[in-house]
Amino acid sequence: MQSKKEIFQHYINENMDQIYRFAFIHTKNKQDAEDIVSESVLRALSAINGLKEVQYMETWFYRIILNTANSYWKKKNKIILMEEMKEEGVCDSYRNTDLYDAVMNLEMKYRVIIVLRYFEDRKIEEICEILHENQNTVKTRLYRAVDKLKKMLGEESISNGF
Amino acid sequence: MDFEKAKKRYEERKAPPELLREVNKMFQKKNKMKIIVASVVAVFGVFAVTLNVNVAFAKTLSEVPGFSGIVKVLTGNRYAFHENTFDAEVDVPEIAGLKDVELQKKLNQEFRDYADTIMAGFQADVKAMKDEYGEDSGHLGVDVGYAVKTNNEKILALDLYVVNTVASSSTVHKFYTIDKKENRLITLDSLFCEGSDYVGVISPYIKSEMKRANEEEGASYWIQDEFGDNFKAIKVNQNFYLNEAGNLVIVFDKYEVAPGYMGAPEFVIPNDVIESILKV
Repeated sequence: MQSKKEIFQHYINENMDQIYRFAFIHTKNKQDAEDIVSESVLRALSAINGLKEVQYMETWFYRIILNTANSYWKKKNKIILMEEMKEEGVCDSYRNTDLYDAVMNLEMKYRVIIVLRYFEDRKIEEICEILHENQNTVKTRLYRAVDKLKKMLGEESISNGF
Repeated sequence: MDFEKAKKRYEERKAPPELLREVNKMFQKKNKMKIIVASVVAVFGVFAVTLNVNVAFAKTLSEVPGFSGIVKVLTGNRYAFHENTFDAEVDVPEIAGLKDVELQKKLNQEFRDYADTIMAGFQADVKAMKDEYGEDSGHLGVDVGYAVKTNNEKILALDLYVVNTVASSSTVHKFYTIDKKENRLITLDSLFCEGSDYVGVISPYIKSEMKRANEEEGASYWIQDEFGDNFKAIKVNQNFYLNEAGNLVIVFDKYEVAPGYMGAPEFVIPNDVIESILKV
């Protein structure tokens, strides 16, 4: 019968585009995104025996990508990180920009949640599993993220009952 | 807030093919042995076969389209098994009209035994999976079938394959090439003059073809692999068949020389490569 590793390989092969995109939102450049995917797969392979139930493979791997992306940035030049954070603070300059660009300029924790919810159409429960957060936290963060986007796009914030 | 347009833009980004290749190598390193072992088990596994009552048995005779000559390949037995997420479909070929009746009988028996073995292995896998994960565990499937590669006046070449699907799929091929005139099963070494180094002649050609395909067609054959899983040479009894034109075609199993998405690669060996050692 098939091992977890083989099931994982199949998952990777079937979902590479999606995985790559998710890695990409952490980096904004191809090479870093590729590195994060490769390193995540390596980490996953060495940890795969710890995965108890195969049906949680995807959320499990997404967590690995998130952790890999975080430590990747710690290793990388911190100046880049600082610059990025500075960029994120400047909301007003994104008026009239595209929603996609706005998402990519959100602070990372908001960016991730918007991508999971609206670009990957994941259920709140799944996002909770990926982020290891409870529903309230996830919902609040999602709400804030949308609010930030509205501000960035110069739309009315909150009021239209999103 | 309408995310549709932004989502489309997000989805435009595709992973570079090299990345998939790189990542698959990470699996390959340890996996390859396992796959080979698994296929060996499948072939030489339990022989005492009791097919489950759920196995529907149906005998169908369907002529393979495009056959020529009197020798035909028919579907002898067909087994189907479907239960929740477990599927098995087995088409057992049956050769008819071969002059050498004994050879024909022997081959047909071999096909049936092979199919029985695969089915028995499948049943065992289903049981193991249920024991470990419960009734509604993952998907498990096996598909045994065949393809007539060549059927002309001289040659009948048959590809008997087993596709194992457990989330991802692996395929194992067994090729039978029959010389109709001489009434014998052709082995790879029997094509060449005694003592000739056909492995040493064919392998460099395939290697150069792999290199060319990697460079020109974006293929991903493992020839420069840092994990040391490089293709070095064909096996003495490498899978092969003779095509309609009579050319030697060397076949690799899935995962043997390239990542799974490249399937089971085939290489037609031009006659001028092996001319000097071919048995006339």
